[in-house]
Amino acid sequence: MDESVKEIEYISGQLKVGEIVTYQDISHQFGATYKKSKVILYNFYKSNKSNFVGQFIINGVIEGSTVIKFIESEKLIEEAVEKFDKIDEIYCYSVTPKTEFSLKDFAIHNQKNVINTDNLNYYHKLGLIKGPELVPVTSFKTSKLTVAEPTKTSTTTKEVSTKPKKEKTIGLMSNYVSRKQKPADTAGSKRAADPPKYQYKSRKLENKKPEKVVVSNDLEADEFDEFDDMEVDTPAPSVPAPKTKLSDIFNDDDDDEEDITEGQKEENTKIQESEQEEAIPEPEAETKEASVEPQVEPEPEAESETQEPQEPQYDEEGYLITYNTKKPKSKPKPKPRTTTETKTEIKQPVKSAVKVTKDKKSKQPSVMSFFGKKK
Amino acid sequence: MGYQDYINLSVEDELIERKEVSVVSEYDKQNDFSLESSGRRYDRQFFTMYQARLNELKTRVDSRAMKQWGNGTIKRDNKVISKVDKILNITSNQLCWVSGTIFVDLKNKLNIFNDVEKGIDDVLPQIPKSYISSEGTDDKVIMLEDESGRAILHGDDKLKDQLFVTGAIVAVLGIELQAGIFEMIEIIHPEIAPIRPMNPKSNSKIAFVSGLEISDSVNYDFKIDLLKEFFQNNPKSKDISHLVIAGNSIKETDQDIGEEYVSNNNYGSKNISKFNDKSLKLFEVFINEIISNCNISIMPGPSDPTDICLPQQPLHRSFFVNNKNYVGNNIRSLTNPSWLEIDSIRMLGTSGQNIDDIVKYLSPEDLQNKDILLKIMKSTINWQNIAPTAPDTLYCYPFENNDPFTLTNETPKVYFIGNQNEFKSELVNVNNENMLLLTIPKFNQCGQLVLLDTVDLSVEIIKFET
Repeated sequence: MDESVKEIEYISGQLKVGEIVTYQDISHQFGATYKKSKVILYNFYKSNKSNFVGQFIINGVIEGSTVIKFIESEKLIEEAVEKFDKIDEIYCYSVTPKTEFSLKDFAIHNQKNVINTDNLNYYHKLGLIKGPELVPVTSFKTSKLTVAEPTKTSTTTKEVSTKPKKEKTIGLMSNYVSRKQKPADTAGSKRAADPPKYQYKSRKLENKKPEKVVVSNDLEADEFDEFDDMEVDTPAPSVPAPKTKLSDIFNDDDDDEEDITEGQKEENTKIQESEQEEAIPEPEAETKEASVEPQVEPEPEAESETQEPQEPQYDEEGYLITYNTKKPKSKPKPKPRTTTETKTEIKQPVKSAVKVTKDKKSKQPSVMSFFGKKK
Repeated sequence: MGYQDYINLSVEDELIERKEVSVVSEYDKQNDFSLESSGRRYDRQFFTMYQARLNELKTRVDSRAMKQWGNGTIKRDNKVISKVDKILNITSNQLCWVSGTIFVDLKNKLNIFNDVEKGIDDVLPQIPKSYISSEGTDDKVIMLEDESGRAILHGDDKLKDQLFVTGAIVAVLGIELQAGIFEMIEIIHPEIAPIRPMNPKSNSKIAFVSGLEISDSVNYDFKIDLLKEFFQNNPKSKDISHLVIAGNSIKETDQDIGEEYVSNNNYGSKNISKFNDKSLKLFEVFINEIISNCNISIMPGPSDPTDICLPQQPLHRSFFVNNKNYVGNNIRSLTNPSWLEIDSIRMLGTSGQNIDDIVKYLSPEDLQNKDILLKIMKSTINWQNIAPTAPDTLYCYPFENNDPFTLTNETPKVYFIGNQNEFKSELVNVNNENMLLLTIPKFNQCGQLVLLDTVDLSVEIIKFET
């Protein structure tokens, strides 16, 4: 008993605070074996029965089956014992203050006693049964499952192989998965698949106006991956080389719906950002066309930019005025909003935006037909 | 004797070592139910899956039927039995046999056309507790179909013991008395694939548990703590070499349940998680406590955070948080259904959906049978398909030219089903080999752990009571 002074002080201290004390608490607190802790706890309870409530566990046999029964109070133990055909052991599981404790309270209490698997030798000394050694798996082992799959069913492998070939996706394919597969490639960015990378990088290189890019793409990326591909492809036409890549991409994702979605995108981008975005590209077009191309996100914008230098020739009012006023627009967006001059500017670009959309709409089907031919 | 006489009788602590068992890292059929992580197609028809099942089992049922009934060589009641290749070719008043797929039409089966009519085809429908209407079983229509057509099956009382569910491949001996109605006389099932003999190298026990349904702290079941404690320091558990968790480890949160559909917010941004983070955390704690002293295999179940469709794919290793590095060694995250091979014992198990769905085809009279679960399990072995009702009434991935639920070349030595209302086991003789059928009860209801002896396949249960 002398050895267990600290333990007894701990038990009484915890009970005074209104806490549950289990034999595992004592073991984990003082490194005592589970067996010893059970003895200490029971001895404590025996000498303090009047002040506390003891909970017990009965290990035994009822009708041929091993039964492990939790008894909430010593008062109930005799009754429970009678039901057992054979009893292997009874031990004191815990002691609580006399206030009411439910099983949930015990469950919540036990959540504090979590075994640290990094130090199992310590728990083995306490009485934890020694099981097989914990062996971490290298990251490669997880790939075994995925590698083994195609071997088992030829159908699944066929699916994968036919995937890029298929021209029509009805829309129930799990685009979602492609993101998970190549998380490292995207490196933090939530955008999916390979093709988008090129253009995103190019955008990042020119940091002038990334905010708009992020907003528009995130919205679309969350909804449809294929749409991202469409967007990303748009800057490519300005460069001759990527055309072949584009065609490949469209062959992968061919959707009849894409035409519609592009149109929707254009509308959305114009509705949401028409004032700001279109106001921005215009001055850029004046200064340098090359710089404008990478900055602009979707196709329609890029096209509009290429159109813009032509339109002033045709249109009399809008663009001439905007050019003059927008020269200082290298500044960020919020500024033009606040100034009164920008109000007039905004109104005009809106008109121009409508015109641009008309132009875009007329051009888009031609773009799609272009890709359609390549199929 | 007072209870004091039993206090602290256990022997003074000494290091107790758990028995080890050989669990091969790679084995046959290990990935039979695995799906590619990418490129899954849900826009396919289920026809090729049925076709694959029929192709596989028709030859086996035909060969067995040919031995028993022949084709123009055997007489029954002075009538020569002839074989009919197609259902469409059945002629009236001719004793013949034909093979095909059973289709059972029941009033309460889900029907997409009804959903479309009611405008609720875009939400997850509420699956009925029984496909049989409350009025009775009169609305039950059993049919046999193949690629040529269908015939309504009608049987006498002798066939009442037979279970009929959609998707089972059988051969039927009978006679067409009325047009389109085939009077059944006998039924034959496909030849049963062989069972691999076992050769255990250790004398240990494999533990099975299902339906832990770990929830948040408030609703946490204290019996789970007793289970953890049993594994940690109860000397009786030292013979357990492996723990198999057969589904429903995590409890779903209460959902907005309508009469006809589960929720109207199943899609898009309105989709609300069915799980709370606290229950996931407590699940991880439970796994941590168990693997500290015992290896586990864990299968997902209907309430776990993975696919709805069978085969359910393994719980993602992220759910094991701090122990995710042990997934693959100490933790085996399996599919549902899944094949296991522990100490040369070939096992096939599910988390119970396949049996639960078949139960919905049964009449109240059938369900009064105490051993109905074992009967269903035997029937699935006889049908050589563990989930015949998929995809008709059981959500299932649309496999192409493949049906993984069909037992093509092997029947398991141990066939277990998780999340049942009670524990049942039976050793049956299949092709002169013993085969063990096992139902694993829901732990949160019954508090039972099932132990299987690896040498003699004897079974015992450990009860945890509060």
